[in-house]
This record gives sequence, C-alpha cells and structure tokens, in this order.
Amino acid sequence: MVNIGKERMYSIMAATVALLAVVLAVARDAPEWLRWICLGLALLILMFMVSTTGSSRAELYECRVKLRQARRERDEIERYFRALMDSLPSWIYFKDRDSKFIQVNKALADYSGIPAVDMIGKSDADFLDEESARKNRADEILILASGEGRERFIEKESLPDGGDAWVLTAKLPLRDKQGRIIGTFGVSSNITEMVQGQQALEKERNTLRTLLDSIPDSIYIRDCEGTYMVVNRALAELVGAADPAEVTGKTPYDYFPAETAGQFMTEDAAVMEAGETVVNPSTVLRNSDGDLRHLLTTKVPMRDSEGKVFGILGINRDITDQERAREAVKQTEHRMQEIVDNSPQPMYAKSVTGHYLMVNRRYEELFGMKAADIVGKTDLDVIGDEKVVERLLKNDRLVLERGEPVQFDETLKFPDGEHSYFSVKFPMRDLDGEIYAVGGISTDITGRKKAEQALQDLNQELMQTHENLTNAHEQLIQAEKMESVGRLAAGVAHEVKNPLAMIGMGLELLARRLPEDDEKGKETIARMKRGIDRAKKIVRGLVDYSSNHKLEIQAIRPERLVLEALELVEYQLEQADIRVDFSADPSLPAISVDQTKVEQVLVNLFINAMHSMEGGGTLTVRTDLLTIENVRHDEGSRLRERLREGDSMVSITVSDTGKGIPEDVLGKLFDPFFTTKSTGKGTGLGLTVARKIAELHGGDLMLENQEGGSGAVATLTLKTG
Amino acid sequence: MMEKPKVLLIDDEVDFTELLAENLADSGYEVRQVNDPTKAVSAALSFMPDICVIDLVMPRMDGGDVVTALKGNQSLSCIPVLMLTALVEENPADPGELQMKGGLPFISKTSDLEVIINGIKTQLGHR
Repeated sequence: MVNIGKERMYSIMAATVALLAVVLAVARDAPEWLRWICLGLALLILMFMVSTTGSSRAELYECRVKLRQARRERDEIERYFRALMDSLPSWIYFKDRDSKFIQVNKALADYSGIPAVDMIGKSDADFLDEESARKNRADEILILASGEGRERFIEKESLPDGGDAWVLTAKLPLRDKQGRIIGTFGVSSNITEMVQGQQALEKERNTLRTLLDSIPDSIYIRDCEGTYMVVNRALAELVGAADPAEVTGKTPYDYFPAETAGQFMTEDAAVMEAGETVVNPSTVLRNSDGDLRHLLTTKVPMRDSEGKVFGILGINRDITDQERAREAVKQTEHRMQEIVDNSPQPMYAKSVTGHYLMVNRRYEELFGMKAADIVGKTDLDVIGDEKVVERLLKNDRLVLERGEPVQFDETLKFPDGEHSYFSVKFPMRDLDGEIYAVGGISTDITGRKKAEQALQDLNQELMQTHENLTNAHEQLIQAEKMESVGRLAAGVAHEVKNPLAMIGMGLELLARRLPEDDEKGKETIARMKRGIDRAKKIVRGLVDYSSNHKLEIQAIRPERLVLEALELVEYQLEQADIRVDFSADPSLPAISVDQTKVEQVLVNLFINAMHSMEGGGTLTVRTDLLTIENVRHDEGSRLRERLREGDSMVSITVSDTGKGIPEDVLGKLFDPFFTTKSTGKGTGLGLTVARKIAELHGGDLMLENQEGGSGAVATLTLKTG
Repeated sequence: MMEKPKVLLIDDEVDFTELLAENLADSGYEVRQVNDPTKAVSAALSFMPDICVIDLVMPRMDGGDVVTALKGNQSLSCIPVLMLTALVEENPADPGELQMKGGLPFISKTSDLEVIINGIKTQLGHR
C-alpha cells in the first residue's frame, strides 16, 4: 500500500468535504437553510485549507528529509535482518496462510540442501516426509486458527542423512500492521548436542545412582546441620526408609535415638573441625529391625569449590557377618584348643623340617616346658636322647613318605623309667593339599602293657585252672565210672571168676590127657589159658576200682536221695512185682553225704528186700528226724558214741513183706562174704560194704525183723547238716 | 609106695569140683567132692580126708560155717583146711602165696592147678 502521509490525507479529505458542501449548496432541491449552511461550511473549510497550506510547505521539506532518513534506517534494519537471517545457526522461516514459504534463512536452506530462493513459494510437503509435513501443517493451522503460537518446545526431527536431530522450536503467528494473521513463522535451533550431552549426563547420574545404591555400604552426605543431602539405598534400609529420596532432607534425629544422633553430630563436627578423614572400626548400632550391627564407619569432610567444608561424606560398612564369622572362628579355635589341651594324650605338630609348630598342655607337662619354648625347637632340643630321637624321626619320615596316618609303638625315657607310647602320626596338609607338618597323638600304654602282661598271666592262670578243672571233671567222671564199676566189681568178680576157674581146671585136665605129640592141641590149650589170664586180669582190675573209698560229700534232701535210689531199681522191682510205698517228709533237713555211695547202700537194701519177697510184696521206705534220745541201735553200733547232745539225724527205714531174717543169721549179716542167697545172686559183701559206707558218713546201718509181723526192716541213719 | 593123700573138695560149683577132682586125681590124690555144704561134715566123717578144700561163697552155709562145723567135730578138728574162693585175688607178685584171713589160708579159685596143688601140699605139711 502506498504511504501518502496523514496531512495530505486530511487535506484531500477536507477538499472533498468542501466540494460536497458546494455541491449541496447549488443543488436545486435543497432547502434554503441547507444551502446557506453548506455554503458557510465550504467557506470555512476553504479558509482552513488556505491557512494550513502555507505551513505544510516547510513541513513537506522536513518530511522528505525524514523520509530519506527513514529509508536509510529501513535499509540498515533490513541489512541487519538479512545478516541475522544469513548468519543465525537457527532455522528461520516465514510461511503464508497456506504454509508456503515466504522467507527462509540460510541455515534452513543449508539444512534442507535447497537454495533459499527455490524454497520460496513451496511448502514442507515438497521437502519433508509426508508425516512431518502433515504434522507441521496441523501445527500451523492451529496457530492460524487460534492466533496463539507454540513457544519453546523440543521435538525430534529426522535428518536427511538418516540420523535424528533434537530441535528447540518456537512457532508463532505472523501478523500484518493491522494485526491480522497473515501466516506463521518459526525459529528452530538444533539442540541435539545439548540434548545428547544432557542425556549422557543423566545416564551418568543414573549410573552413579545405581552404583551408589548397589554398594552394600551405606553412604550419605550430611551438611553442617546434619541434614542428609545424599543417601544411598543401603543407608535407607539401615534407617528403615522405603526409598533414599525419603531420607533426603531429614536428619539422624529422625531415625536414631537422640543420644545416638547426638553422638553422630558430635563426630561430624569433629571431622569437619579437623578437616580430616576419620575411620572408626568398631561402631555398634541398632538398625531399624532392632538388630545390633557392627559398622566400620568412615567420615570424610566435604569441601566446596572454595575449599570450605560444607558437610561430611559418610561410609558405613556393615561388618557384622565378618565380625560374627571372626567370633565363630575364635570360638572354634578356642574350643579346639581346649579339647587339645585337655587331652590326656600329648599332641604335637612338627614341621617337615622337624621343628615343633604346636604342642598341647599335656605335652608341656610331660617335658616340663612351656609351649612357647618348645615351638621352633626340634626333638633333639626337647627330648635330647639321640637314639630315641633318631627312632622318632624315622617314624616321622615314614609318615611324610607315605602321606597317610601310621601307628607306632614308641618308647621315651623319663626320670620314673621308660614309658611306652602308642603313637598315631599323620601328615598335616595345607589348603592346597601340600604336606607341611607331621601331627602326632601319643597314648601312654605303659600301664596298659603292664595290665596286658598281668592279664596274660591271669589268662595263663585261668587256663591252668581250667585245665585243672577239666582234669578234675574228668577225674570226677572217672570216679563216677569207677564207683559204678566198683558197685558191680565185687559181684561180677566173684561170678566171673568161678566159671573161669572151672574152665582153667578143664584145660588142666585136657592138657594132661593130650597125647605127647599133639602139638596143635597143646598150642590150643596154651592159647585158651592165656585167654583165661586175660579175663582174670580184667576182673582184678574191676575189683581194684571198687576199693576206692573216698567220699564226695554234698548236701541233699533225704527224700530226693531215696527217690533217686528207687529210680535205679525201679525196673527190677516192677519185674519182681513189688509195690513201692514211699512218702516223703519235705520238712526234713538236708544231709551231707556222698550221694553215690549212699545210693549204693539204699540200692543194696532195696535189692535185699526184693530178693526176700519172692512172688511180690510191698517195699516201704520212710524218712524220719531223730535225736540222740530216740536213736535206736543194736549193741554192735558205735553210733551213740559218735552222736553228741543236740545232734540230729535222719533215718531212712526200708521194710519189706518177705520172710524176714532167720534169727540165727541176724548176727552175721554184716560179716564179709556171708550170704543167704543162692549162687549168682549175692556176693556176701553187700551189707558189709553198706554198713562201712554208713559208718564212713558218721552214721549207722542196722537190720532187724519187723515186730509182730513178717518181713525185715533196715534202718540207715545219717547225720544232718 | 606112699598112700595117696585124700582131699575133700567142698564147693557148690559142681563143674569146677569135678574137674579139680579129676586133675588132683591125675596128680596122685584121692579125691572126694561134696557140693552141698550142709553135707560136708558127714562126708568128711565118712571119708576122713587129709585135707579139706573149701569154697567160701555157698548157699545156705558159707565156707566159714563149714570150717566152724568141721572144727567143731572132734574127729575132724585136726584136718587142715584150704579156703579156695573166687573172692580173693591172686597175689601177682607171688601167685603161690597163701593169703591168711581170719586165721585161715586162702587161695584164689582162679589160680593155676599147680598153685592149688602147692597150697594143698603146704597145708598137708602142717598136718
């Protein structure tokens, strides 16, 4: 639009109005009053115009000067503008309402790779990808519609070479002089480097944060007032906060008892005051769970760029587990040491070079030296005796060679004499399995050896005793055998020898009657005689056996004695049709007798009774307790002499229902070789021996006929106790 | 020629006495035997032996009783006796030895004939 200036415009307007007023004044239809008014008005305007025209000439000149100046200024501004447009690194553009470029700067043209002149009149669609173009157009339509720009927003732009660029953009409406929106314009700065730098910084910060939070040590920075400025996750956990950010801005008083917090503050102050790092290896405090934790705390004064201390950096290392482990190891070591020291066996470890590494208390006591004095020394230093030491070292070497435990018998000399040891020696290996020492546990077996010897002697003795017992047992068996044989011998001898005598006589006769030349016959007779001799010898042997009169005394109850004797003849009695009547008296005291011999007596009495009851009868056996007053005995008995006042005896009476004993033989019954039995039935010795046995027991045996009845009664009396 | 010595054998063992009698007869003795001891005295009285050889273990009357009976008879009391019984053992050291028991000479029945004859001879010598 052409700029005509205000004054000129007013002049023209005034001339026009004056002209209109004249036209109205000369108009035919106009009322008179109006003609006058218009004429006056036109006159007034003309007068005004004449008055102003004179002054505007000078003004006009002045105006031209100003105009030229303005043009100069305008050119200058335009030059500036152009310089700005061409040299600003930001992209600048102006677009019309149709988003077609009106103006672009050099940077944008360079960025687009298209000369600026070629871009004018074109739109984004001609240069950018479809999506970016549409987006830009949408932005611009919004700005055109709303009249509001979008200032300082960051967006990502795709670079023509394929990369991405971050741009800080302002898009604004473009207005004309009247303020009407005639388009848009925008300024975009490539801030990719800045964004990337920021991103890198952020990444670094995150890395650092992660690192800080990953460290198990609790780390914090507190300012001079004790306010937490930075804390890591471990510290948050220590104080029981959910997040490190939660702790920031708080003070120890928010998390610890006042006393503890106060102590922290004192320490902080000391560190800041001294300006030096302080390490405290033995801080103990309770965490949020109430557990006691051992901490290794480090406090470093923090300085600003001017070197002024503004707070402290604290690092708390939780060494509770290590402390506990250390304590456990200490405990274990202590325990092991106690066990080792309380062992009654000396224990020791010697290096491969033979130097003592450790000994236990028993070892100290044994050699009267302190462990500290023994360690580092050799056997030769400690034990002294070269020969003994040589033997010990030989054993040690064997263990090293074999690399496994070996057992030895070792001997050491002490003031109280030689001691024998049973030593277990074993290689000691380090964690790599390398043998570095020989360990040993020695047990003093001196006493044991003596005991072993004693045991061996005792064993020998026992074996001897056993042998003696065995012999005694055998002898007993033999005696028993002999006793049995003896019982038979007397009878058998007699009964066998009679036919032998007869055969002998027969042979004598035959020998005499034999023809002189009958050698065969003589030989036969000689053999037969030898046979008889042999039989005679056997018989004599049997009789010799029976002559053994030793008593084997043992306590036995009378009823049992009787029952066992009855058992021996049970079969014969049954065959002879004899009934036994025996009632035991269990109240009777035991008697001390040689059971076998007394049984022999009873059997003899039973057999006698049996023989006297041909065709059957009743055998009655009774046991009774007797005192000296009521002992009955015949005149031949010496029983009364043997009995003393108060002595008690047991009587066993055996009575039969036979013919009884003829009066004329009563006195001979106990004479040797007297018998009333037919040949082959008795020996004549039975009752003799029976009475002898009774007397040997300090008792008696007597025989009589039953008073007022048939049958005989034998009474065997034996001492009690 | 001397008269044969007369021997009375008193023993319940019939077989033995018969064989002994036979042997003694062969050895030059006049022998009579009695197997029932209760008849010993009467037999002795009728035979009037120079010696009585008596068994010990016999039924009804043992050798001791026979001796007592013989000694109790005046006609017979001087006749020597020899107890021949299986109850005594031969003395192995001296089979011919007469074993004196209760004042009577004993000889084992199983002794050889020679021993018995020697015994008889010894007792006859005491007559």
